[in-house]
Amino acid sequence: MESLKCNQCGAPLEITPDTVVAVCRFCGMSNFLLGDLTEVLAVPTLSSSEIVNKAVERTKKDLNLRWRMSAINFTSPDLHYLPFYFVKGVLNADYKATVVVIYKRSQPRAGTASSRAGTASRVVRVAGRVSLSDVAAVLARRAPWGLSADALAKHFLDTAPKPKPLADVVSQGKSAFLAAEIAPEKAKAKAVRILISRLLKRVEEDAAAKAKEAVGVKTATTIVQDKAVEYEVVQLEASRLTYLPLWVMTYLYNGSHYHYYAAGWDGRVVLAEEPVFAEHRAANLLGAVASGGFLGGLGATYLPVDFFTGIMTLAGGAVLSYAAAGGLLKSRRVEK
Amino acid sequence: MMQCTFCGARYEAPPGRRFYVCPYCGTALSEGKTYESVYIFKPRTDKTTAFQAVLNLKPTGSPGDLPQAAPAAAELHFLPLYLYHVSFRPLSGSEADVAALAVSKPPVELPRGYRFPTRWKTPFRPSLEKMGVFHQPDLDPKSAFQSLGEVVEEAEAYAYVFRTKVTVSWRFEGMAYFPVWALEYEYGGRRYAAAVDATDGTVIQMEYPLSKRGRAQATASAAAVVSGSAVLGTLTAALWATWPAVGTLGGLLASAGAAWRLVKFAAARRGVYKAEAKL
Repeated sequence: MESLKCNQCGAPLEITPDTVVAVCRFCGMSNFLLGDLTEVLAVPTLSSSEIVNKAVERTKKDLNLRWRMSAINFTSPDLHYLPFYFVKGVLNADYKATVVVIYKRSQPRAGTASSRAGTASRVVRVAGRVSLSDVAAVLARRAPWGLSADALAKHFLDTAPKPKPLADVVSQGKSAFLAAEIAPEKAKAKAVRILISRLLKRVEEDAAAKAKEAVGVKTATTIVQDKAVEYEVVQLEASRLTYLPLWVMTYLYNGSHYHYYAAGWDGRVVLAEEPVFAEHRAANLLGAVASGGFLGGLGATYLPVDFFTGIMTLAGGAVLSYAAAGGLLKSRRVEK
Repeated sequence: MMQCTFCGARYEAPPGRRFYVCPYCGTALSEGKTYESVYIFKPRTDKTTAFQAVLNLKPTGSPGDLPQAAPAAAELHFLPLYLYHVSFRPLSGSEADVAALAVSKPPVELPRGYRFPTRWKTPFRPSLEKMGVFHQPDLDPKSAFQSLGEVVEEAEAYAYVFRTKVTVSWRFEGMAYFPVWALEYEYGGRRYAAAVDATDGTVIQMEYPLSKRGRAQATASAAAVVSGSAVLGTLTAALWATWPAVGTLGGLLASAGAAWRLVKFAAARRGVYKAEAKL
């Protein structure tokens, strides 16, 4: 442990490697352990009681929880200020791809005037250029946090609250700030990895659209079989280190703990852990019946006509019903 | 005996390991190299809270009086993790941080892709050793890294798409100790095991007794899915203007997926709950 002293009264400060702000036990002065404070931003948060109120409101509106309010108890929430870099990147990609287009077409039925639906497939080669201009949120910590941090960053980008200099915000959650462990340069590198996966997704979408156009159909199933991509990073810019407030709130339902994860600036619950109720089980049961019954019936009918399609439909029904049965056995669920 | 290069303490070093961690200061040694950055994730959940979290979780099919089950044993384990910084060359600047378990046989099984939390990380101190069982890493950083299949898979995907050979290069960043409660409780004369993330109280996994009601519900659901599917299959075939019996058979066949899963659950000796994702 290092021994640091309070800037105002000289008393020793208790710090760990994770300390961003050390509040002096003797005089109450906030001591910043970051280099240049003007470079760091933070989004102000609502108070603990406001967060609780928002959570209660959310619960009253929740489709499943609103009927069970009397069985729910809320506990006081914990604040965590998570450090993020928001990296804006512009990437271009040139690609060549081979796409299989599977579409419906009507075939005249032999000997009759009616026609019946059939499927056809074509392999198309396409090439193109896509551009991606997007912002990636990078948590400035060495180990990942969890899904709530992703949801929090997404909500920040969607709602765009105004961050303030850290010094103006710090009184709200002295010990809640987590130290940033990575520098902007490293954040940019991590952002490239996030942006590349989005770029590849866009390449797939573009290739699928071009392939459908080439075949001349609007609705079709496409499978990108093979793609070759060359990309370049045109622009990459990291924001200042920005602290976002995340409240973790536990509530009890029938004595069992569940968590809400709420954004501090507007109290919006970005991720909610909820119990699995009878209505969810019923929905999963119906799902299992629908997939098993409909696809099974369809597959069996198809067997004499087209053995392969019939078997695949049957197997698809079995897989879907297996998955729905998993939902039936689930103990808790996550709502976004 | 090993002598720590950092604090000079001597400690026991079982042979056959390539990696040693000083129990006094946490400095890690390997073949003459010293790694100083050893962290510990501070346990914030005590034994009682951990038991409460497990017994009140109420997984599917568990008996209603499970919260009254008797705690039988509890041990706090500190699992060593290696932290790496990974880059994919020649893809410009694409990087990531990953953690891998540094023991080949952990005392508790962790779900695949479990995200280790970053909260409450403090430097390792010898006094912490009294708190629980510290496991010495028995894998070297290289082979532990290879257990991270997803990193290699990702590199392969990139190599395929960008038509270049992508090499994964990694740098060993240090070690962290991660606390997990290994619990046992007794219900109806049988013992059941559970594991709780001691940093934030998340139940990682637990075994639990299945109640008669739970088994009956799963069996009833299986029967409902099978009969419902048969009826719907018959209707589908009838609408398609073929023999309805063919559709009945199809519905029965396709619902076998759900039926198998539900019956397997109902017939199991005990239920198993596993945390899905780190929230």
